[in-house]
Parts: sequence; structure tokens; C-alpha cells
Amino acid sequence: MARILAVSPLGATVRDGDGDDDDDVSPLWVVELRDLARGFCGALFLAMPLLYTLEMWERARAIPAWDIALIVILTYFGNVGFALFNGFKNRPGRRTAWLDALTAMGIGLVASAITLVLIARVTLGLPHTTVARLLLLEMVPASFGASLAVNQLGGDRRSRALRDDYSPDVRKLLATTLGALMFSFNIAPTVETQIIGNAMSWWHTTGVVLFSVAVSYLMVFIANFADSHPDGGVLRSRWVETLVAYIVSLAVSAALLWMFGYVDLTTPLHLAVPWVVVMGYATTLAGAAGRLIV
Amino acid sequence: MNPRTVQTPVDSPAADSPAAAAPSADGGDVDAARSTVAQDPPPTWIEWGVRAVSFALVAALVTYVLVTGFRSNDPPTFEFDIDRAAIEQRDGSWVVPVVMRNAGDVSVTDFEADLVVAAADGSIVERNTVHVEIFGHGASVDTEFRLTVDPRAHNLAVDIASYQLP
Repeated sequence: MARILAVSPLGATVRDGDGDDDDDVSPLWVVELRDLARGFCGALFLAMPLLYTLEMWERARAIPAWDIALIVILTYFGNVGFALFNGFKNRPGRRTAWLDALTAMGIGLVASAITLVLIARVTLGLPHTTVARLLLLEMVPASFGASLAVNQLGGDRRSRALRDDYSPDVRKLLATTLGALMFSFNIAPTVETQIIGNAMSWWHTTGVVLFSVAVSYLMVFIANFADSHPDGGVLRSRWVETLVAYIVSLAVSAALLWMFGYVDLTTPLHLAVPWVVVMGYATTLAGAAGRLIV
Repeated sequence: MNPRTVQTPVDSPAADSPAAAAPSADGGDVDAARSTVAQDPPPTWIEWGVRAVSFALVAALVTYVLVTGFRSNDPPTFEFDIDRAAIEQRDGSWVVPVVMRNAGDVSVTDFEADLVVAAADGSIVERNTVHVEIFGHGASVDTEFRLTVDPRAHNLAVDIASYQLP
């Protein structure tokens, strides 16, 4: 516990940079401010499209209070996952996933608040509870952006050290989940998913399922974007990995649709299934991209 | 503390030590990377302060949303303010500005309201509908109803056609 709560004096110095021998020695507090600045920029970089999205402003008003609280809790664990692989600090040694996730949420909150005030989406005339809901909802993608700042904006050379701590199966499942979550977040709040799903026949739905699985396989194992990993336990087989990843992607799809209030346990299956499959097309591609990155 | 950690101020006496003068290439990164709760070197008060503020902000907002969400149970109540003085003819239509307000504690979706134009004998002359996708509680919506007849000599009222509870 003492080590967790340890504090360095403000005069402490540390190497700062990407790990080269010519890295500068800088005061630790300056390095920490640089980390925060990196996280802030990453938050804006990823969340900007959603800060400008009408559905985000509107859905924030309609989501029940308990769901908002649950979303914030899930966001924290999502940020822990992102921080394990990435983070906003360029030195793995200064990363602490469980605490950096908290900081990322604070950064996301502040970045969202500043932007929403500047673009007049948060004004003095807005009810306080609406402002609170809007900030918490916009904080989700912004905090993910902060937690992925190093990956988005460069500066990392050694995050691979972390990867050695997890089995290939866990890495793949985590990467699928986090990749799907990050890249599909821009689509999730929009109503287009429902419009498309409602217009589709069961033939269309089946076609999207098959095509999603095929493209996922193509992207990871055929297109050679990166070395595919033959390692793994249960997921050693390519097709098993692809199918399990698809199921995970569908789960992320359903979770995102629930988050924005589009589906819940009372939604009729004949509506929910096409919506989840349509959204799942995006999360599957994104999940495949996530597996390529790790 | 990990002896490879570069935590010593450069101008301190210990700066002459090999560890401080020539920080290791990984600065303790590889070992510290195994930890998800402790970092090497430990953060300053600045980072601890940011963590504390982050936690306080998020916790305060969530608490506020929960408290207001469960304390407020007034059903949706709508108020309409028809600005008769601002009625004007525009592009071949009569435009009636109306400010709608959801004074209840519940947001609604797919809100539809009709502006009803009635003659002195009560017969309905014309009816026009507006749609609001999401009508948040406490929110005001400035809208315009477009009519084909001059409404100024008639009675005007806004009726709630329908809405969905979340």
C-alpha cells in the first residue's frame, strides 16, 4: 500500500522521451504535465466527431440515471483495458492502469466540457442535470482518446513490455473488445443503424453476418496488414479465433446500442437482431483491426 | 525504491551516483510495467492532485445524476407560449411562433404537438403538427407552426398529440 501511495518530491527528475539514449532529464512534474497535455490532445482527437454529433446531445437527455452510472463504471474498466496496452504516458514504468484510467476520465471530462461550452452546446440556460448527463456521456469517448493518446499521437516505443503479461487468448479477446469499442463508438449513437436494420430482410441480415465474418478473417489472416499470430490456446485455430471474435464483436455491438438507449430487454427480437448485426459489422471490422494492432 | 529509478534531483548530492548521472535506458520501465497500481518513480503531488480532482468530478456528476434522477418523479408537463404578436406571413404561409417547455421531471421522445386554429363557434379551421425527437425535462423548444389561413382572428391553442416515455 505504501508503494502505491508513494509521492515523489517536486524536485525529482526523470528521463523523458521515447527511450533513446539521448533522452533529456526533466523535472518529474514537467513530465507529468506533458503526459496530461498528451492525454488532453488524445481525448479531443478521438472525441471531436462525437462532440459535434446531434444524437450524443439528445441521447444524453433520455438515458435513465442508473444506466448513466453503469456506463461510467464500464467506461472506467474500458479505460483500464486501454491503459494496459497504451495510455497517455510515453514510459511504461510511469503507467499505472488502474489510476491512469481515473485520470483519463478526468481529462475526458474537462476536454468535453471546454469544447461543449465553446460550441454553445452547454449554456447557462440548460438544466443542470442535462449538463451533467451530457458531460458524462461525452466523457466516454474522450477518456478513451486520452487512454489511447500515445497510440494515436505517437511517442511509444515499449508498450510491448506489457503485452508479455497476458496470454495470447486474453490479448486477442481484449484487443477485439477494445478495438470494437473504440472504432465503433462514432457510429453507435446515430440512428442510421436502426434505419438500416429496419429496412433489411432476413436475407440481408444473414448476408451481413457472413460477410462480417469473412472480412474479419480476410483482414487478420489473408491481407497481411501485419503478422498474424499463430500463437494462442483455445484461439489457435484461425476460424475459431474469427468466430469467437465475431461473438465478442456482437456483444460489444449490443452493449453500445444499449448504452445509447436503442435496445434493452424489452426490445422485440425481430428489431434488435438486425440492429445488433448491422452495428456488429462495424464492431467486427474494428475488432479485427484491434487484433492486428496487438 | 527500485535502485534503477531516476528520481534523484540532478543538483542533489546523490546526483553523483551512477544511477542518477547515467539513468538506465529503461529507467525501471520494464519492471514497473508489470505493476498496474504502483509507478516508478512515484508521481508528484501534481499527478495525485489530478487523480483526486478527476475522481471528485466524476463522482460528483454521477451522484448528481442519480440523485436528481430518483428524486424527480413529476410526470411530463408541457407549457406552451403562443406569441400572437409575432405572427407573420412568410413565403405564402402564416407563421405562428410558439415556445414549448417540458416542465416535468421526465424527458420524452417522439413528442408531437398540434396547433389548433378554432373559429368563434368552436369549429376547427386548421390544425398543424410539429415533431420533437427528444424533449428533455426542463428544456425549452422554440418552434414555428405554419398555417394556410390567417390565424389572427381565430382562437389558438396547442394540443399534445403524442409522446413516448423513455
